[in-house]
Amino acid sequence: MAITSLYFVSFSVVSIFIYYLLKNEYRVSFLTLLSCTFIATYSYILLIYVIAYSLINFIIGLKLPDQRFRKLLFISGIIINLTQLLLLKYVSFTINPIFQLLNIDLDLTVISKIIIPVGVSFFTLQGIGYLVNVNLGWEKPEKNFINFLLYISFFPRFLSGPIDRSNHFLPQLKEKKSFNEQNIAEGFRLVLFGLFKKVAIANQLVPIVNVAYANIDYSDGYSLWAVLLLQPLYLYFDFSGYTDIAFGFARAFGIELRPNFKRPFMSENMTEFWKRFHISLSSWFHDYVFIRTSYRYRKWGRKASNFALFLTWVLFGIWHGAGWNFMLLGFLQALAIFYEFSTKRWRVKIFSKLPDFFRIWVGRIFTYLFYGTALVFFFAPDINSVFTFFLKLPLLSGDLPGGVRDEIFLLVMVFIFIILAFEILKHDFRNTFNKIESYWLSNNNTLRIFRWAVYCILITIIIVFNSDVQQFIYFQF
Amino acid sequence: MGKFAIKLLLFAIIFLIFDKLFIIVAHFSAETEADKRLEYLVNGEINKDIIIVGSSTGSRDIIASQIENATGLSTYNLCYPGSNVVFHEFIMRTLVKFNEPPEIALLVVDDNVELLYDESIIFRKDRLYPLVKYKYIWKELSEREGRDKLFSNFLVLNRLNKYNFDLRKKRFTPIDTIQDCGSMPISWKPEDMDFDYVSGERIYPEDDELPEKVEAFNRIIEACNSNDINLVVVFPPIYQNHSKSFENRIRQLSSEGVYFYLYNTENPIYRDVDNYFDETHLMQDAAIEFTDELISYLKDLIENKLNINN
Repeated sequence: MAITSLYFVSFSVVSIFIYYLLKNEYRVSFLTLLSCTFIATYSYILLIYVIAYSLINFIIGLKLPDQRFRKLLFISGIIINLTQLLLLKYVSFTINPIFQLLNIDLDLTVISKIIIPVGVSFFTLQGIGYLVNVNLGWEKPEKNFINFLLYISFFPRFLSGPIDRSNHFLPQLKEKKSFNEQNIAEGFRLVLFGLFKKVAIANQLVPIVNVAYANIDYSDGYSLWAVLLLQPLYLYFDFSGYTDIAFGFARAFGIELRPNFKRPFMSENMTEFWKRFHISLSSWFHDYVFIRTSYRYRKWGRKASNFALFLTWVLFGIWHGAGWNFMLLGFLQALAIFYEFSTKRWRVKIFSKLPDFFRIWVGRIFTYLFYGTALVFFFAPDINSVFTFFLKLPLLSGDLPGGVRDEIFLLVMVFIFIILAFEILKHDFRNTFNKIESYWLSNNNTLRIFRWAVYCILITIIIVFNSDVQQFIYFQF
Repeated sequence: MGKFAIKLLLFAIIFLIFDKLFIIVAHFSAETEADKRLEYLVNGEINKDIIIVGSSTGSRDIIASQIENATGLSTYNLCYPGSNVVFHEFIMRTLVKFNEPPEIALLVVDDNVELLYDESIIFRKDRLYPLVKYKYIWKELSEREGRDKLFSNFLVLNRLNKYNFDLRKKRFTPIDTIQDCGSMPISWKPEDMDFDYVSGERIYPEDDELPEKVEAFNRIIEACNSNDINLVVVFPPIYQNHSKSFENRIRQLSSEGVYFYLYNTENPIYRDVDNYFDETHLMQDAAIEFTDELISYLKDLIENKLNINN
């Protein structure tokens, strides 16, 4: 079931009302049932797999406090999690080439063809995170399997995150939830906004990016420059659109998800960027890989941090997919952060003399350009295409990319400009933004009519632009 | 909760009323179109003896009025540039649903790529969207777009596309000017157009065929059989060696009773670059010559094999 379809939206809205009509003790079971139904619309086998996966992690978690087998159980749990991820996502990159070398006629990609591992990269990190938390004593094991199954399978975030933490999600299931009109209205607004970002903006930029990468040998310098500049916006509106939808529905059910985006294009450097972009993933890697590795090798001093930094970001890259380009994507991020950390002292000394406005905006523009460049590794189908892309960039010739009619492209640019203008306002002129927001949400009747008119227009744009449906980029992970 | 539910219901009702305003957009978007052929088809106005179906090669290379004048049989060209065999099947299906079936259907196939993936030939949904005021059309679109059929029944907006909102009157471009008979021959050539003749044997990659396209091709044959239409598969000239293996594959897929017309591969005009607009489309004069050759074949077919009265 596509998350942007009218069926999904109607399914969720009706479910929210049923949810609040039920007694509190039945609500978690109802949400779990909804989530299982949602997964089953992709594949029954996937549903069985998710239940089995949850059960294994649940049982390991329950047994972990037993001191006799603690280490063994924990290591087994991590190995099980990583092995299933390897088998479902990385076989073609890791195991199959070894089989070929050994002349073994076995293709393990058949496993992923049977299971259809939607959302596996996301729920695996949640499973591992839970085991680490329990092992370190950061939280007590969950005793109710239905709660744990919901933690893994909660349908608004099952496909593409945000990656939740068990010690953030599970306690919320034990709280008594009462119907809160303001929360639900806010949730619906977020869903509407998310659908708009995905359908009216990201989907319209798809042809430009896809056509360029699919025909990279025939693309010209100008069109590749346009792609380089547009792809951060495309990815941001696609993924943050999904996140807003997930957030909105979760909030309407009375559940708060961990934040995933915080105005990333306001970042002045890459270190800050990764605290604002795909936060749930970068913070997961920070907490469970960087911190753990730095701590483990703390005797190495500064070298431990550097090693942990590069290891974390290379794994971060590999998480996105099996390929050298993803590994290099992660390595580039590590390199940028390493540079920023090592040169921070003299950079602050030099740049603090510049006017704030100038310094901030130069930083933002450079960060955007760096990220746009790094995304070539993300979107290119293979490493050869990456090289072709960069070799063609200096050849300033050809046409701007096609694939989208001029008037639609212009309209999309207007949408982007309005949203980014609000983000700048929220970030740099907080008081003005708050005033506008409180005015917008005030209970004045004229404003309510205006608000409803805007919602009608947004829904109209979403429905009309929702033809030629495009999948979310992060759906593939 | 009741109060909130009522508010939501009220909003839904207001939105449904707002949605009905877009019936005007759906209606006017058909009026703005320059190419009215599909609308004629849905309105049952294409009752001809000979119909030509295909992509741009069919629309450029075969002049329907010339066939009509020579054979005395009313002829119309329903070829759409950039369309694939799945779209051709839709045209045939629509033709027999709303109009009198023709005596002869000429299916113009694209040498080598007819049943393969080729991004330049697609199902032309953009031709259907202006006609969403017709239930038949939006049902077809709903299926192809994966839109929720249930919602399309009561939401006008769910039948529309962003291009429906472009209510400017469309005009023919020099390359897409349609004659009264539906054909679109080209009489001008850009100066920078440069291409070489591709000689040598061309192998047809049968393994790369798309099942959807093969199925559509078979359905065209079925539609012709069940409506007593004589189907002629036409292999038009291209500025390359004719692909014999492609021709054999098309013959293999076709049932008995399907006729085939291959252009005269010995005719030197098809080796002259000046007679081509690009590698696959003839210039108008060569199209007239090719149509003449096709007419000779059709006359022979009508006189000797088919029982058709002029």
